[in-house]
Amino acid sequence: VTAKRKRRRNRSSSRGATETVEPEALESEEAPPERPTRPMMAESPFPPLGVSLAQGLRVVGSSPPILAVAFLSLLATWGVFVALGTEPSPRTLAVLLSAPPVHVFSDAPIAIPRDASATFSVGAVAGLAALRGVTFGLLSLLIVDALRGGTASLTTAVRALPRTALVFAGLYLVQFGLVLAAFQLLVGLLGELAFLAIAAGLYFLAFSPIVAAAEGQGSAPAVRRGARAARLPGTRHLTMVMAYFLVLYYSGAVAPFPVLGPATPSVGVWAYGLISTFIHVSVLAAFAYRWLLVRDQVPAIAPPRPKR
Amino acid sequence: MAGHDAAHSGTVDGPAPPYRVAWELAGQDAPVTGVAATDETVVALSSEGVLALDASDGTVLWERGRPAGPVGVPGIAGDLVIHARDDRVSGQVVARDLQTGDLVWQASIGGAAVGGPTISGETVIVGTFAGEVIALDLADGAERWRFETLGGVAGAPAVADDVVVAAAYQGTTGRSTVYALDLTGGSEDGAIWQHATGPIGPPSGPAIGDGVAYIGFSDLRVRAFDLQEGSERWTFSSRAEFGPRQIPAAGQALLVADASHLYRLDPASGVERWSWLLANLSAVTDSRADTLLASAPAISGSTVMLGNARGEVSAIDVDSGRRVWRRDLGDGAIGPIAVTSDRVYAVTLGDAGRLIALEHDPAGALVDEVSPTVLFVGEGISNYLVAAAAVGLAIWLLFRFALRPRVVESS
Repeated sequence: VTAKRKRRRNRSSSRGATETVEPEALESEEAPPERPTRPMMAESPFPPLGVSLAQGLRVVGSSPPILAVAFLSLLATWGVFVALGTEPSPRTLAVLLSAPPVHVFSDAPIAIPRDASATFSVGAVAGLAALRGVTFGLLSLLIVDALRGGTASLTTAVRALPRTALVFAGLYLVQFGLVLAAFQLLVGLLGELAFLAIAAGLYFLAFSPIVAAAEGQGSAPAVRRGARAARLPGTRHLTMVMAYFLVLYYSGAVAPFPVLGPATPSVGVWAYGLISTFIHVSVLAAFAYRWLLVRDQVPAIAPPRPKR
Repeated sequence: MAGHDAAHSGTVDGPAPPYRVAWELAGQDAPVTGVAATDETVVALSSEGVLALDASDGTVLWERGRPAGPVGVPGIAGDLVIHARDDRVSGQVVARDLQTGDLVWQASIGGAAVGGPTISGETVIVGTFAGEVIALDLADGAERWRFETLGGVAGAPAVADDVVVAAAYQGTTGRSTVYALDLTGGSEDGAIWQHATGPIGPPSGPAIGDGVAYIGFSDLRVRAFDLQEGSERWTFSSRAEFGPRQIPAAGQALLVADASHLYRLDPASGVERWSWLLANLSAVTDSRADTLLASAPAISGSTVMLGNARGEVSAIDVDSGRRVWRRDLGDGAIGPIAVTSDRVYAVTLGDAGRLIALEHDPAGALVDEVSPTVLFVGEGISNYLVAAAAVGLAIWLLFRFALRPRVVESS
């Protein structure tokens, strides 16, 4: 199957509203045996970046329930930040709902501020875990529902929410610990390059919440299975992670608002935050889309490593 | 001098807002740093000169040349004008006759005193960029003592109760060290106490009030030290870093400015009474960001004045924390503000620098503005509702007429 033919197939399949897509992963299985064997050189089972992002944008943009939950999640997160004593700046507002686990980096300074008591920090982390569990749990359930059935059912998602929210809260705590540990480690080793911890965290943990929502798995299995999905052959996952990371990294430079702003967000600041939230949730949907295409290649139980 | 007096109280029973421009000085005579002023005379350091102006109308009384180099805020003590001079080879402290501008004495200090002199009684104290604190006799410039510091001293030292407090910063390590030195006995036995932090950015200048020394550190903390023992009384978490020109005003109230905010703190506990976002750190020009790093709070009566790098000066009521007056003074960052009993002197720095003398304007209008750091929850939520309705509708309409998403069938 040539790349040109594949692109054509992708384009034609995207025209139908409910048309079933043959996962590219299956196509790659038909590839000739002489393809490169090194993981990064191998053909990726994930769809291309543009296809994934377009699908994510369409899923979120055409679904009023997902949009409503995303927007309300932003308001709720802003409220929790304010309750914890920090009014988010315009640029912070724009990354409040960044895809897991990136939002850990906006949460950490709020949950563990300098001079804060241990009681405050424990309470703040627990509160943020509950908030992120509910908001991202609901969003992920709706996204998976929309990708599988064409429409997102709020009733179905709310019914499945209690268990998913608990798993997501646990997942959040795992991500919080892992990302902060990596960050602390890299601060010592690499100094200014410690932001790479964000990229690394996103690379390995991007699929975990989607796995939890789509497969109904617990926190630890979701992390393991998500990390295995991230390590599938090819560079498309890395490309998407780096593209999202660069957007996050440089978004501050092109932000239409100064670094510091009034504590009370204006209509313009909220609009900026809401549009950014739409993009973040679309990226989450893009990861969900990719997961649903490759899930069969990532079994719940890791296959044994081949003996040399 | 910087901070108005030796302790850096920054406090004068000056004119109340609103203000109007009494006179201004621009062009090559414009000052390159804050001015020293009495009710009769204003002394300014221009890029290559020292000049005295009549405080009533800005007429130049005398002018003398100086080598172009970094200087700090000059000081006035009786009939003497004390200012630093730096020819980029060896720095000096110079005393001139206030009436004539004639040289009275000069003393070599071996480095640039970019914080300017601090005059306490009969002693002139300077800190140098070369890493020394030097005490000179006010009468003849004779050196009394000098103390070597770890890093350059960029802020004007503060003096109270015979203790000199100076903050040094070592650029290579990022280490900041605060020294408390004996004003009278010199420093032969070393510092009375010292406190080091790092690696971080440069500290603010020090200020002393009621036996406590206050300094802002660029680890985003304001620290209060017992002046005699050096023990840390309290710390306050700031929102931005500090610069050496930023000297806290430690008068009846403690007012501290970091790069973006002005805070009123409780001197006893360090608890924030109010804060004002006066500079938002955005780019003003390619090389200049909107900060408060070039200025320091000056208290005139019951209002505190401070300027930002956009050229805007604000007067904020010390008690209520509400802004009562503001004025855009044009291009250039606002430098240190000087206050006398009937004038406020603001300078804008840079190529288009000016010295603006402000006086009370009985016919002027006051404003009543709440700090942007105060959150109005109701307004924030109503703004959210408007934005969410608009953005949500726009996105939905856009995608309503675009392609619907594909459904993924997976086993």
